[in-house]
Order: sequence, then structure tokens, then C-alpha cells
Amino acid sequence: MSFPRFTKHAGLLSVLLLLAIGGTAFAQDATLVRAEQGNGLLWVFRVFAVLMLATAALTISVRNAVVAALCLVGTLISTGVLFLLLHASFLAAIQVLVYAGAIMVLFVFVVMSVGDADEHEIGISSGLISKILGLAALIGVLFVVLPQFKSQIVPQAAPLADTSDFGSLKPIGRLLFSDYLFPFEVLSVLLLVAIVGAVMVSRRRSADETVDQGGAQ
Amino acid sequence: MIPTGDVLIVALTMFALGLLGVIIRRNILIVLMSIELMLNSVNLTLVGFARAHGGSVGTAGHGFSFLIVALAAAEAAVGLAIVVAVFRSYRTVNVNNVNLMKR
Amino acid sequence: MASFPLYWIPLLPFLGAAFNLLFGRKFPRRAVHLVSCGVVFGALLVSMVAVFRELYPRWVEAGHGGTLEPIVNRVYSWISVGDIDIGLNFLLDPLSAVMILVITGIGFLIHLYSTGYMSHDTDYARFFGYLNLFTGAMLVLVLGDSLPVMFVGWEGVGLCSYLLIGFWYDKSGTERYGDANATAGKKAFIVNRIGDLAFIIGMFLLFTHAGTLNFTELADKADALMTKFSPLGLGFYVTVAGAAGLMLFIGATGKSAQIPLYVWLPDAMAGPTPVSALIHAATMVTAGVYMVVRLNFLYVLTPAVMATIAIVGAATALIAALIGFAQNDIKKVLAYSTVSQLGYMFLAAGVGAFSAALFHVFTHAFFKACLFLGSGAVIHALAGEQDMRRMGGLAKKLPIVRWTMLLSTLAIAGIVPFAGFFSKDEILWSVAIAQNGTLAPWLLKSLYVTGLAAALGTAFYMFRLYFMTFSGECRADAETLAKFHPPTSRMTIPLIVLAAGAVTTGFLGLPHVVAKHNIFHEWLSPVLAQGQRVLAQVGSRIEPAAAGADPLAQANHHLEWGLMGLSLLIALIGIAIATRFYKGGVRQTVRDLVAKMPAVHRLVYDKFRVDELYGWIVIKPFRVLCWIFAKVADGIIDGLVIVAGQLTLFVGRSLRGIADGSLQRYVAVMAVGLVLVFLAVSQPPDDFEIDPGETVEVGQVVRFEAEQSTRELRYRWDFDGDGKWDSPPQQPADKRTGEEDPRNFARDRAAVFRYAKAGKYAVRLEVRDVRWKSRATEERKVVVNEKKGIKSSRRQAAGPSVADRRFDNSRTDGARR
Repeated sequence: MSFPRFTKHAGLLSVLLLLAIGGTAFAQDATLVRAEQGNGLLWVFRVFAVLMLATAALTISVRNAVVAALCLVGTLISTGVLFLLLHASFLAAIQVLVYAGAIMVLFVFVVMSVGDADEHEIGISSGLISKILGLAALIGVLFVVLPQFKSQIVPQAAPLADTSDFGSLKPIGRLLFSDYLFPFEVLSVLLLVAIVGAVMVSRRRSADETVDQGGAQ
Repeated sequence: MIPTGDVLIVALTMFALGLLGVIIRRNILIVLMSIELMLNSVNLTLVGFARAHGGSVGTAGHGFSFLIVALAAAEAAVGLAIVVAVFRSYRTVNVNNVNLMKR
Repeated sequence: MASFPLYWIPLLPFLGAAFNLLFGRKFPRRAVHLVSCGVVFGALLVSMVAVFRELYPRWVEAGHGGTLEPIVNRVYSWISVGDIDIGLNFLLDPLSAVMILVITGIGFLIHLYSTGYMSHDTDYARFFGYLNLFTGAMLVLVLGDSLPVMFVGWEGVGLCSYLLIGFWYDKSGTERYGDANATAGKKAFIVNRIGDLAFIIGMFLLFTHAGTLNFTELADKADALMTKFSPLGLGFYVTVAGAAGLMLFIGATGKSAQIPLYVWLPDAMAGPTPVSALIHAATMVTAGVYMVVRLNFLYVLTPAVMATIAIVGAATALIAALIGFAQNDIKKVLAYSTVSQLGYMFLAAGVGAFSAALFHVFTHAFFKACLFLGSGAVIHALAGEQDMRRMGGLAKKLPIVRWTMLLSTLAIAGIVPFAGFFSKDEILWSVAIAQNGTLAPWLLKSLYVTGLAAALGTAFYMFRLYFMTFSGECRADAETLAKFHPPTSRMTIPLIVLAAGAVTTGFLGLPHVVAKHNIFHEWLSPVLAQGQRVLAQVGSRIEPAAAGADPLAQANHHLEWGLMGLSLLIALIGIAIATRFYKGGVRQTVRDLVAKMPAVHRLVYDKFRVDELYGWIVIKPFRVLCWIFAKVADGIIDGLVIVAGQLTLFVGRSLRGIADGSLQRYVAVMAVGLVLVFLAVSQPPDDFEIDPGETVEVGQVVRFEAEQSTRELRYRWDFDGDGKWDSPPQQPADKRTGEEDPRNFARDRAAVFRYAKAGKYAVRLEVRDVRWKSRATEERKVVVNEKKGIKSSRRQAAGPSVADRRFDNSRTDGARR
């Protein structure tokens, strides 16, 4: 049974995206966030957590790379919503702008630019060992590490004051430009290096520069 | 209030999914996406703990997350550039066909 | 107090060697030999200052028989490990003073001579580099204040000897320049290794039993030297002095070419003639004698070894002289002559006449160096001809060489008043009056007779050499004569100086009957006093009785005059026979004699076939052993290696599938490994101890204690194996949540139980990690016996007190947490 093609699932994906964006808007309601009373907010968290995990599972399981990329967008937006619920409003914004926006555009762009349709349809590894090992790792991680998170060592959040600017741009910016100035600057250099590196690696070489590449070109 | 443990469980599950994707998928692009999933889950963990600790410690956690997002951007850029280069050489993005280490 | 910088004496030649060996090739010959001779001359000057300005006043102060404080120059601590503290120290006393003056003085003359002799050689700098290196090493040998330092020099001169014997290693084509040169070098080196091994063993023995290797300190340890021990636990007992002395003497037989290790020296004549003069006649080969004299305090304690030395020396002196009769190579004759004279020196040392031995070293250095240099001049003049049968009639062509060699020949033959007469006569006299409890009197007498016979032989073969070389008609072919060139002044001046020495140096050691003072003997007396002191301390303990005090002391004038006359007569007889047989060339009488006894002649000519004998008893078995080892190596060891290799290949092939280059699989394995690490870490430690043990008694207090851990752990116990937890008291589970009550686990890791009934029980411990929420159980068996007697109650009393203490510890641990 071949996995459905991307076009047939455009509808489903649209719904997922709408849900995600709607959730974002919903979660951004500051009063709701600040109130933190009752189970209402917890339910929002649960919905988006499930949505995030579902889209993540789809990302790694669909055959079509374009679909996978779109599912990943859903995951990232859902994560952004969780960020909001955790009072990381600045990061939520960054998550949507940089991750779900810029990086994913880059992904989709590359997905579309390399190969033909068949190349988007590469499935799961045929190796049995890989599958077994992968599943064993998944199950092992979940069952060994998960139980601990219920124990007392995990700190619990305290309610924030209404006037708290926790998670907003101001304290983070202050921190990044004071205590973390050096890592921040190093990171900017890293980005520059990455850009130059990416250009160097992916630039089309002229014929005489081409080393033997298996007659591919 | 959202229990920190729940956040961690969700994050860990996502991490495991990402790891699984890295292990079993043959499409380099989807492998890269799985790596993004793993990075994302780490970010979620950091934000969860930042919320739990609050104050300046939590702000530092946000700072870390911010740096990781930037790092992810760099990683994606270079990784995708490599994918493009590999595709140009091998005419495929199937990792099974890109096995120079085997020879 | 800063002591006199003795280190300059060996350092100067070493610097010269460094210059010549490293940069000599880039400099003109002039620079090479200026540096080379200059440094040795510098060493001579420093030595003279040291001896005459520093040592001599002390010697005068000490007076005859007094104790002389030698000059010790501590350079640095060389080896300092545990009990071993060996310094690179130099010691100047009358003994080393004689040696350094001989080495630097005669060494300088031979360096000078070499500038002429080697003038046609292409490898000028290398030759002089080696020669300087040798001089430095030899000076270290004689100046070292302990056996290890001496051994450094000992090995250093051995190395230089090897390098110089094989100096013309690459020349081939003629008899002289054969591959044999390199082989001769190797032979010298390998034969010396045997001796050096014994030398090292001797050092080990001394260090083990006396705890020091320093000469001065050793001389004060007579008691330690007299201790008896059983070598290798073989059951018989020997004194340290005896065993170490014998081992060191074996070392000396290697270096000083004595029976049975003399075979290398005649072959060593493959080296250039100045080398033969310096190393293989004047200095290096006397190192063994020097060592024995240096350790005189050791040797006087062991009459048996002394007797061995004397017998070996006498035998060597005679046999080498006999072999010398039939040799035709001029240098070979001199080589055997050297072996023979060294035999004399050991004979003297063996009968306790250490100063006579060293006196012969001293005089021999002059006349033998002169003879070698003279023969070198002859060889040089005849463009490499060494066979005496193609010489003759050179007296007119080479007058200076002829006269100097004649003087030296008279000296070595023992004609009064040349140097050799006095030194050799002193040896023979010492032997004649020697006492040694180990040897039967007739054996002692036969040693004297052997010495006389060797003296006769010496006179004979030396004059044979002289006549065959210089008298009669010239038998060299025209081609050689065409290339004839007389020696330059650089070669003749050393000859003249050395010949002068050969004539005069004997007067330093005039016998008692002639002069009141034997200068040489008195000069050395502070060194030999060591031996007397040691004898005075422990002499009574020596079995059998020690060799008497210095034999020269008990002079009988009439006997001495008589024996002196006898040895002179013997020498004259030898010369007369040589004149009769060889004057003017080999006479018909000799040919007849050889024709009558061809077998004897061949045997003597072939050096009694000792080399062949060694070939049979050493080299052949060695080859067989090698063959066996080769088979073993090929079959068994190679087989093992191959199997190991195949195994590696097999495992590699089997495992190759895993490393298939698939990064994804690597990641998967990493993930699984991570999970396993998690699992292992989360498991709490569940080991526990039972006090007082796994076998206990009814009613006894048994303490169970779980392993200590930094983790936050909780424990519960089932002592009797009934499946119910006994400690702590269990609470029912929470009805609402179904969770286990946390009180079901105890904080204390120790628990106490008393068994009521005998039998076997399974004790079970469950450990729970509070943080990781993981559990582990461990089960052990306990055997409970019926109560017995007092013995167990005592144990019972001891048990809980220990456990109580631990209990308290665990309490505080818990409280801290």
C-alpha cells in the first residue's frame, strides 16, 4: 500500500496548520496565560502536545518529503504554542519566525529543487537491523528515562506576578548583551561561516574543476 | 500551571521520534528534518526548565534556547548545502546510495 | 674546597674527537692534526700539572708508607637510585698518575707519528677523531674513581679499538686491505664481550655484598669482601673477594689478551700501525693489569685467584712467545710479543708484585710503542709490505729506524741497562721468592722457570725480527723498492723519544741490591698500602694463608744477584741463537730444522690452532644452537604468529559487516548503548555483607549490612526466605492509589536479626533508589547451626561491636543527607 500523495492530503495539512495558528492566537491571550487557574490551560497544553507529537510522527513516517516538511512546520508551530504556555513569549515568536518560517522555507526550497518526484518518495530504511535498533532505542529511551520525570527532583513552576516580564524580549536581550555577549558574538560569526560554507559547498562547479564523480554529471 | 514533568515527557518523546527518524529514514532531507525535531525537543526542555526555575536562571535558559535556534539555522543551512552537493554528485538523496565509507 | 679540575684531562681529547668526527672532513688536514695533537698535548700538560704540582707535594707530605689523600674531582652525580649513588668522579693517585702520564705522553708521540704515517690516507679526520676518542676513553678508564666509571672507559676503549682495527674496512684487493679487517674488528669486539660480561658480574657481586663500587670505599670494606656466599646456590662457598676477583680477572683476560681470550689481539694488527702501538701495545691492553693493581686490596684477600692469575700469566707469556717464533708478519710477531709481555705483567700481579707489574706496564709502553712505530716506519717505507721474508737489509736505508728499534729490541730482550731488563728482572725476582699457600712449591718454581723460558723466547723472536728486517740483503721486489720513501721527521722524532725512554726509564725502578731507592715502587706505595692495610685487618682469616707481604721486601742479596745474572744470561742465549739462525736473513739451518719437523712448525705457525679449537668448541655448537632456534622460530613461533594473524583476519572478516559505513546504523547502536548505560546507572547497588559470616548459630545476633552508596537508597529485608518482608514492618498499600507505603523501606542500610531455628535460609534484600525509582534485589544463603560452646559465644561478643560501629556510621550518613 503506497502512501497517499501529497496533493491528496493538502486538505488535512491545511486543517493542521489552521489548528496550529488558531492555537497560537488562542494561547496568546494574555489574561488566560497569566491566570493559570484550573485545568483549562492544561487542556490547551495537552491538545498542542498531542498535535506536536502527531505531526512529528508524521514527519518521520511519510514517504513524501514535501509532506514531511509541512508536517514539521506543524510540529514547530505547536512547539511555539507550548513555548507561549510556558511564558516564553519571545522564544515563541522566534520559533515561528525563524524555525517555522525561514528554516522551513529553506527546507521546502531544497526539497523542491533536488531530484524529481521519485526522489521524494524514499521510504523507511530497508535494513531490518536498523529498524529494530531504532525501535529499541525509541522504546528504551521512553521507558527508561520517562519514569524519572514524575519524581520530586523535577522542579515545579511557581505562579508569576502579573507584572512579571519573564520570557519577554527585554530581560533576554539584556542578558544576551551583557553576560552572554561573547557566545552571542561567536554565534554571529558561526552564522557567517555557515553561510560562506553553504555557498562554497553547494555552488556549481565548472566542468574543468569537476573531479571524477562517477559520471554523474 | 503546566507540570514540568509533562513538558519533559513530551520533549523526550519528540526527541525519541527524531532519533528514530535519523536512524530509519533513507531520505537525507528527512534525516535532516529529524535532526531539527531533536533540536526542537531540546529547546522545549530548556524552556520547560526555565519556566520551572523562573527569574534570572529561567532567562538564561531562554538565552540558551535562542542560541540553539540560531545554531539550528546554521546547521540547516550547511546541511542542506551538503544535500545539494551530494545530489549533484550522485543524482540521489537516498543515503543507501551514498556510502563512500563502505568502500 | 674546589678540587683540581681533573675532568679536563679526558675532556680535551673528547672535544678533539667531537671536532674531528663532526667537522673534520670540512677542514684541511693541517687543522685536523693540529687539533688532534693539540688536545692530547693539552691533556699531557694538564696531567703534568696535576701530577707534579698537585699530587707530588701530597706524596712528599705523606712520606713513604704514609697514607696519601688522593685528589678526587667530583664532576656530577651520575646514577643515584635507591642505595646506588655513583658519581662521575675522577681520582688521581700515584697509580692513575703513572697511567695518565703514559697515556698522554706516549699518546701524544703516537699522534705526532700518525700525522706522518697516515699522510696518504683519505680518511684523515676520521682516524684522528677515533684516536682522540680513544685517548679520552682511556683516560676515563684510569681516572675513574669507581668500577662503573672505569667500565665506561673500559667499554669506550673497546669501541675505539673496534673502530680502529676495522679502520680500513672497505679496502680490498691486497692481502693487507681485505675484508678481514672488519672481521678482525668484530672478533676483537666479540671476544671482549665475553670478558666484559664477567666484568659486569664481578661488579654485581661487589655491589651486592659490599654495597659500593667506589675504590676507596671498597678498600675499607675488607670484612664485606671476606664474607662467604654460595654462588647461584650451588652448595659450595667462596669469598666475595674470590668470586668478584675471578670475574674481574676474566674481564681483564679479554681486554689484556690473556689465555683464553687472547686470540683477538694478533688479528687486531689489521688496524693502522700507530693504532697497534697506542691501543694494542702501550695503553688499552694494559687496562687489565691496571685494574688488577687498582684492586690490589681485593686480590690480596684471595690467594687462589692470585695463583690463577699467575698461572694464566705465565702460560700466556710462554705460549705467545712460542707462537712468535714462527710468524713472518712483522706486526704479528710484535702482537704475540705484546701478549707475552702482558702475560709477564699478570704473572707479577699474580704473585703480589703489583708495583713490578705496573713498572713493566710503564717500561713496556715505551719500548713496545717504539717497536711498533719502527715497524710502522718500515711498512710505510715499503709501501705496505709486512712480510719479513720480503724485507732485510734495511739497516742502511732506514738508519734512525734501525737504531731506535735495536735499542728497543735490546730493552725488550732484557739486556742491561735497558728498561726492559729492570722491569722484567723485578718480575722474575718476585716470582722466584713468591709465596702462595694455594700453590705447591714446585708449581711456584715452575712459574719462575716458565718466566725464564719466555724470556729466552722473547730475546730469540725479537732478534729474529730485527735480523730479518734489517740485516743482510734486501729481499723486497723492485716494484716495492721503486716506491720506497723514507720516514719524515714527524715519524722519526717520536721514535727517538721513545727509544730514549726505552733506554732510560728502567732506572726509575732499580733493584734494591743496586740502589737504595726504588723510585717507582715508593711512588706507588700509598696505593699498595691499601692491600697491606686490608691484609692487616682480615689477613688471619684468609684460607689458605695469604700471599706474603710484598715479596720485594724480603730480599736476599746474593740470590737476587744470582737470579739477575741468570736472566741476563738467558736473554743473551736467546740473542745468540737468533744471531746464529737469522743474521743476514733466514739461514739454511733454520730451513733444515723446519724441514725436519714440518708438523711442529705448522702447528706453531698456525698459532697452535687455537682459533680452530674455539671454532669447534664455541662456534660450531653455537651454530647448531642457532639452527635449532631457527627451526623453532620458523615452526613454532612463526606458526603462532601466523595463527594470531589469521585469527585477527577471521575476526575482522566476521565483524566487517557491522562497520558497513552506514552512519544510521552507527547512530542506532549509539542510542541503544546510551539506553544500556542508563539502565546500568539506574540500578542501585544491591550487595550486602553478613556479620559474622554465612554460617551462624541459633540465637546469635546477625547483622546484615548493605553496600554503602552516595545515592539516596532505601532498604528492606526478608531474612528467612519466606517471601514476606521482615524489616522494616510492612504497611498495607494505599487503598485509593494502590501505591506502596514509603514506610515499607528503611533508611538504614544495616539490619539485625536473630534466627530461632537451625536450618538454611535465603536472605533477600531489596534496594530502592528514591531518585531513579529503580529497584534491585539480591539473595544470599545463610546457614544457621545449633548453638555450640564457648567458642561461638566469644565470636558472638566480637561480632556486634563491629556491626554497631558500622551501624552508627550509616546513621550519620543518613543524617547528613
